[in-house]
Amino acid sequence: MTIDPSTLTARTASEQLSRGDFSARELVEAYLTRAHERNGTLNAYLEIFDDAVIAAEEIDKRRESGEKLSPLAGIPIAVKDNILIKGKIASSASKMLEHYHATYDASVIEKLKQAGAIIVGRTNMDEFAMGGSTENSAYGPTKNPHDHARVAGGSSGGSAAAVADNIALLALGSDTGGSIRQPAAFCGVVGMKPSYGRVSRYGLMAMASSLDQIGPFAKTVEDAELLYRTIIGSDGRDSTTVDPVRVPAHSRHSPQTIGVPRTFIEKGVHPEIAQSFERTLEELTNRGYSVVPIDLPNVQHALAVYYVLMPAEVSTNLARFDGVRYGLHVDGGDLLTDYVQTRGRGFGREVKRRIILGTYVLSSGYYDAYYGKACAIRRVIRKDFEDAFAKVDAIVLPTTPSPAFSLGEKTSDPLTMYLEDVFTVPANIAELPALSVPMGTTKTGLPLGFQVIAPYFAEDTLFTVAKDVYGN
Amino acid sequence: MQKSISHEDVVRLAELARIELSPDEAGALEDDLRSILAYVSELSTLTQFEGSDRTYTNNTLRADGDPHTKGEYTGALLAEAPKSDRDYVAVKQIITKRHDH
Repeated sequence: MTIDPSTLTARTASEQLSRGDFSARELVEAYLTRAHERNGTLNAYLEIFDDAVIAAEEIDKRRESGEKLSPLAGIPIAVKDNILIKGKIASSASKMLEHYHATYDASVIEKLKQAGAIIVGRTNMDEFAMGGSTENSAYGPTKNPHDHARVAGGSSGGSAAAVADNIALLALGSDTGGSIRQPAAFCGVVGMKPSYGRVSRYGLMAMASSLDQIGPFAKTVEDAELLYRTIIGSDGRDSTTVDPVRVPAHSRHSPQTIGVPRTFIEKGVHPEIAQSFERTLEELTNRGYSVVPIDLPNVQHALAVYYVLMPAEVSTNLARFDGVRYGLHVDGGDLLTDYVQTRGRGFGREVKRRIILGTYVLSSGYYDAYYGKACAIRRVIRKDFEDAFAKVDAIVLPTTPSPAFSLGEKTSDPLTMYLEDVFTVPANIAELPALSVPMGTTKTGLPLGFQVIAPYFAEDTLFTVAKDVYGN
Repeated sequence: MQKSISHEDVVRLAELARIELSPDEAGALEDDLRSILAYVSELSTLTQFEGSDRTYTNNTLRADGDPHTKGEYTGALLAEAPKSDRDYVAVKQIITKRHDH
């Protein structure tokens, strides 16, 4: 039978594989063919793995032998280029790692392989996950599938575009300040950042370790949930993962009350986003939810906190790229000149900007004023959320203040680009799970995202509310 | 919050961060840092610090002992090193012999 990727979801494809409507090999070939046809324009993939058919044939054999397989078995999935897949290049879209081959599988990749998912390519991103448009990739920007003159969002723009354009059924991304949710909103797909500590980052290139999380992209909420359940779990190789039994349950009832931080979202939101958002709130009310205004007194400072903490952590994490153990090496005569020239040529502008900003906020005389203060205010913001969640089961707000912007529109002024993160950063700062689900489009057809934030480790609430917004 | 950043500051920070910057890059960075620091300086107006210290993470240490067979990953790791010498990553000498005495 002919396979039409635009009509499939992971769940329906999985059912059809079990029924024998098509084989995993046929399914994967259909996606690879389509990916090759469309990637020249889209630039969602940095590399398409043609050898994925071998893994697909393996799944077919196992199925033929009568083995009971996981729902992800044979499902084509795309992986962001900062997650290690043993033997494959993992470049983080940087010249620094252009020829670097991963020497081991990330924990999430081990889990995907165990479930039989078929990794069909590594996706484009902002270099080392720093950016909100994929324009900081050393290999050219990813185009928005809904309008090729616009950005796909970032930093996980390639993963979002791949799912939106039906050249992958699912994808993994990473989210430090909105890098899954914002591109999901711009491309019209579901994107989710789990609670800090839910998913192992072993094998994820560290950007800002107190904020980074890996999470799923999918066309439906239930597909996102399926991928999420495959990758979660505590891991001895990432000491920040948390055993769920240690976390007291937030509530036993299904979500009923939804809080809207009115003051926070009253300014600077695109009118069509404001309209769609209000319409979605009405739908939730009609479905029996009680929608109430809430106050998050310090949340407007989350972005400033983020742009201190994140660069500080970036500057330390990226110190490892020194041209000695792996990656680019520029020979400069002596060891110090090797370092300086390797990093000068290997890193792009945004990466250098953040490393140097981080070096500044951590330097003697400025540490307390910037880093120390940001850490203190982070705790205040976390408490604001805890107080709010004593009254409501979920908090909702638009994922982004505006729909996908034009390529090149925000590249000259870093601060304008940073302000794009204003609604996504608070969940990272407070370590909370958050999900973006489509809420219609602008008149010109650009997708818009509705964001749900739940209490710590209450991801189930996200899925319940998101399904009520978007169906399954 | 603090005095504004100078050109010399940018040059010094680049040295500390071990990053070579072209004069163009240093100039642009000076402007960028100034506007970013002006933005984050809103934090200095905040004085109330009643926060939450909730944390569920605990320190995880691997048990003492050999995590894997010696040399098991040496080949794969060295294949990624820009320069190697037998079973080692090659690094430039940083201490040189003095010949004057």
